Amino acid sequence: MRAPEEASRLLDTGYRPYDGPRAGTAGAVGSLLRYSVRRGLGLGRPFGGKVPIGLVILIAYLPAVALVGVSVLVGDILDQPLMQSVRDYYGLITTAVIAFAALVVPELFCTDKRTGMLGRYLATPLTRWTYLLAKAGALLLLLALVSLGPPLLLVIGLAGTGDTPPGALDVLDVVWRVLVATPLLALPLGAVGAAVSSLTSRRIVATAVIGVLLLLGGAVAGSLAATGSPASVMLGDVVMVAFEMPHRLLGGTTSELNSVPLWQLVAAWCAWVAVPTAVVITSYARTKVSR
Amino acid sequence: MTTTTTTTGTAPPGATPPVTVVRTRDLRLRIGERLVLDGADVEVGPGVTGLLGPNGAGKTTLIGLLLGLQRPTSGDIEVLGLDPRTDGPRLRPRIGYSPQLQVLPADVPAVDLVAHLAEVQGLPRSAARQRSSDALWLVGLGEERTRRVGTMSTGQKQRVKLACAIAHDPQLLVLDEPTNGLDPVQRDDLLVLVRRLGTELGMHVLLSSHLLAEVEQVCDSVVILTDGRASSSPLRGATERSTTRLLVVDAGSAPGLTIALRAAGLSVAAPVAPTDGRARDRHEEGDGLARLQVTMTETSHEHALTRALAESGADVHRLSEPRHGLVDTYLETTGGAA
Repeated sequence: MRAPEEASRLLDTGYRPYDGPRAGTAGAVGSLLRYSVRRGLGLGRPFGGKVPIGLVILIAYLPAVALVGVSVLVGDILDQPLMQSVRDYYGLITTAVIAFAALVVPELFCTDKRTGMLGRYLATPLTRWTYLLAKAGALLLLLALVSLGPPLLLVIGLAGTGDTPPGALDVLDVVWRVLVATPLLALPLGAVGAAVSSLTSRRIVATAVIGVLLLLGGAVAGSLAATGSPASVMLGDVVMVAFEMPHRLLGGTTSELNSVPLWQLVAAWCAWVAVPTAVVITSYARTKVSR
Repeated sequence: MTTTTTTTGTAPPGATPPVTVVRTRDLRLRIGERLVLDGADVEVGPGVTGLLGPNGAGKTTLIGLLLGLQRPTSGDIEVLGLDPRTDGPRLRPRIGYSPQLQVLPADVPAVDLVAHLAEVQGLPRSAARQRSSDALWLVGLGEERTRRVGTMSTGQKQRVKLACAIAHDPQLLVLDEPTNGLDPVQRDDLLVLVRRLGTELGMHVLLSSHLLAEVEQVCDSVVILTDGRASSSPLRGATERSTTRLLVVDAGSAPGLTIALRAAGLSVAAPVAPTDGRARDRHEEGDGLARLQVTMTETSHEHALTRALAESGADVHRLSEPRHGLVDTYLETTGGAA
């Protein structure tokens, strides 16, 4: 027979008051950021929500994995400086980054409006601005997954291959440039995506508009450039501006913008970040959330 | 013109009464040309308080102001001793809010959603996870907690919303039309739960509704919004026992009884007729009965009334405490607005 003190145990006390620690605004921002990253990656969502994101990530990483794999097996097939190989790699991931932005950014912004979560978030320590801060952080982390991860993988993979492997200083020189290039690439694309997403609660609409805007901008600017317009007309293409930044940082330039001076490029980059950001801020300042 | 009234209610066990949960002074909100709130003075005490008003009266707007989601044009607001305009991030973790909007993220399991919102409210992840399960069990969704919200019925979604609002253990629970879309049985179940939260679990509850019956069912006091102004009234336990009695006696014995009652120090008058056309008494004019309204001003008067009735030998058909229900209060306040 069991002793009386072992006869019964309280396994579940049920709902009870909570007097433990509370994290405040910083905790709320961190929690929303983590949750948004998970949502953006399709984690915790049904299988259908994971597939497109997974495919795009695969497309971004596959060339790097293949190049590193081939280099390990048969030697350095690129036969060019590491910095140039990495610079060229950005050309391989352009489509993946655009597709990723078009898929992920609306998930971060539109879904909260459509499902009433925005109102619930603003009934927590979050304000509109700390909410946007968390979303911007999540956005940059997600875009870094496809704009930083693959080049970094390539750098690390190629660092130990080839007949004359690059030295540690050469590798570090490329790594810091890739690290700096990531936000320079991600910010304008993310800002444009966020601006579009802030204007609608329908994710599919935002995805379509972002996709068209990013692709159409290049087509229009390219057509104008082909008709004899100055090369600076290409600065009207946000994708071109965004991807020109890593090229310049890695000691080169794209053929379309090689005649555009750096100050014009920087000014265009600032405009592509500032104007969409202003749209986002204005949109959220005006959003009514009391229901 | 502004209306200033104070509500008092039954303090939840464990609370430190009396506290002012919500206080607004001369609150005005203009949206475009429309004055949504026009000098609303509200003072809500502990317990369960109903927020009533016709559609478009500004109930949800007032809630938005209390949460700091909107800023008033002028006036003062104090919720749990804090100003939502300046102390929003400190105040809101102490409030649980269930919005009127019925939609929720469809593809998220209920327990994940509740835990996430509890974490955003500041709870550590492990505590948020544990408390989300506890909250879902409390609202009756323990077995369903891992189901995706999109597969749940309207009643279950309302319960998920309630669990989201209570998981972080708020001091004040603000529920905006929580019974929308529920059938009568579900509505009653939810109201019982709301009452329990307000009485057993120590939360102050502000229940916005346009349904008088449900407010009367669960609330200690009520704030009625109409034409941008607020008025308040205590209900249930908060009401002091009425000092008037309606006395229905044979018409013949009425004069003598009136004299006897007045001699005992009681005030006697004819009762006020109903103003809304409803018959409050089964006995109508010409039925040979007299109706007297007796007002008692001292505690000894109740005994004096009983003795005077016994000694007068009058045929007493009824002695009752006139009820002034929420319907009367609402109609008086809103002028019958639907």
